[in-house]
Amino acid sequence: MFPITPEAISADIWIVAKVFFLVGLSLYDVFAFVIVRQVDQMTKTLEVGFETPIRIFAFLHLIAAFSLTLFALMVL
Amino acid sequence: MAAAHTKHTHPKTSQSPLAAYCYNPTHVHFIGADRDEKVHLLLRRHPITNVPWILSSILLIFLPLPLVYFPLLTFMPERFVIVTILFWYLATSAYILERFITWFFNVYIVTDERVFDVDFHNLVYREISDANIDAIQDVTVIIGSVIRTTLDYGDVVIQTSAEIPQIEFQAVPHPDQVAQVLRDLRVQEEQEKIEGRVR
Repeated sequence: MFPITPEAISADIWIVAKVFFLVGLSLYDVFAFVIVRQVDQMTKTLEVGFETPIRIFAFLHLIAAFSLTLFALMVL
Repeated sequence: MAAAHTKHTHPKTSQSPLAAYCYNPTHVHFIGADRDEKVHLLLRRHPITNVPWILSSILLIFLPLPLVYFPLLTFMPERFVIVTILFWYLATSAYILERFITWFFNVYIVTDERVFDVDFHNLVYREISDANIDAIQDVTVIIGSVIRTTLDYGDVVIQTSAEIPQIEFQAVPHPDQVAQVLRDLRVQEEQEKIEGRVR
């Protein structure tokens, strides 16, 4: 049996926190993907000549979301 | 026909894709438009209506800065703090994008045949209402506050005999000019009916 020390409890709490962070970030990735799809739909509905910057911003946001999830997976 | 729209003066309009009042825009294509349908007006809410969310965004950007002086997240390991702050800025950028595209894509379009109200209520809900110009029964301009009077923007309420009884252009710039364009188009449409040139 391993002794239950405050340090061990603290370590367990942060493992649980890590799982919560990763689940939350994964859900956020889905949200970021929905934004890209919706921006795509919006730009198909209305074209006025400013679609490319909006698409790029939405895509960069998706990449940033995926990158943060990977970063969290590595450092947490 | 075009003369009917050029005889009255229009405020200086921009052809910028970000303009809130665009008279005779040259590069507008939208879903549901007929091939020979000519767009006369492209309208959005007045840019001043964006001020609240822009201020909120600035606040969100600077909100984590006090953490430098008041380390409220010291109970967390440093790696968790870094991920939390990065996530904060990611969510802030999503908020800014969502508010901007909501303003940008919620447009009102007046063509020579119809009026359109394109609404994106949120990221997953789209609603496009339209009514024929000849179904317009009444156009009411509502400018209801000091700031609206000063900056010349307000609501244009269009009563129609179509399936959708009312289309409302909310907080658009130069509402009197918009009403004037709609009046001219109705006259033009009546004239086309009399002359038997209805499309």
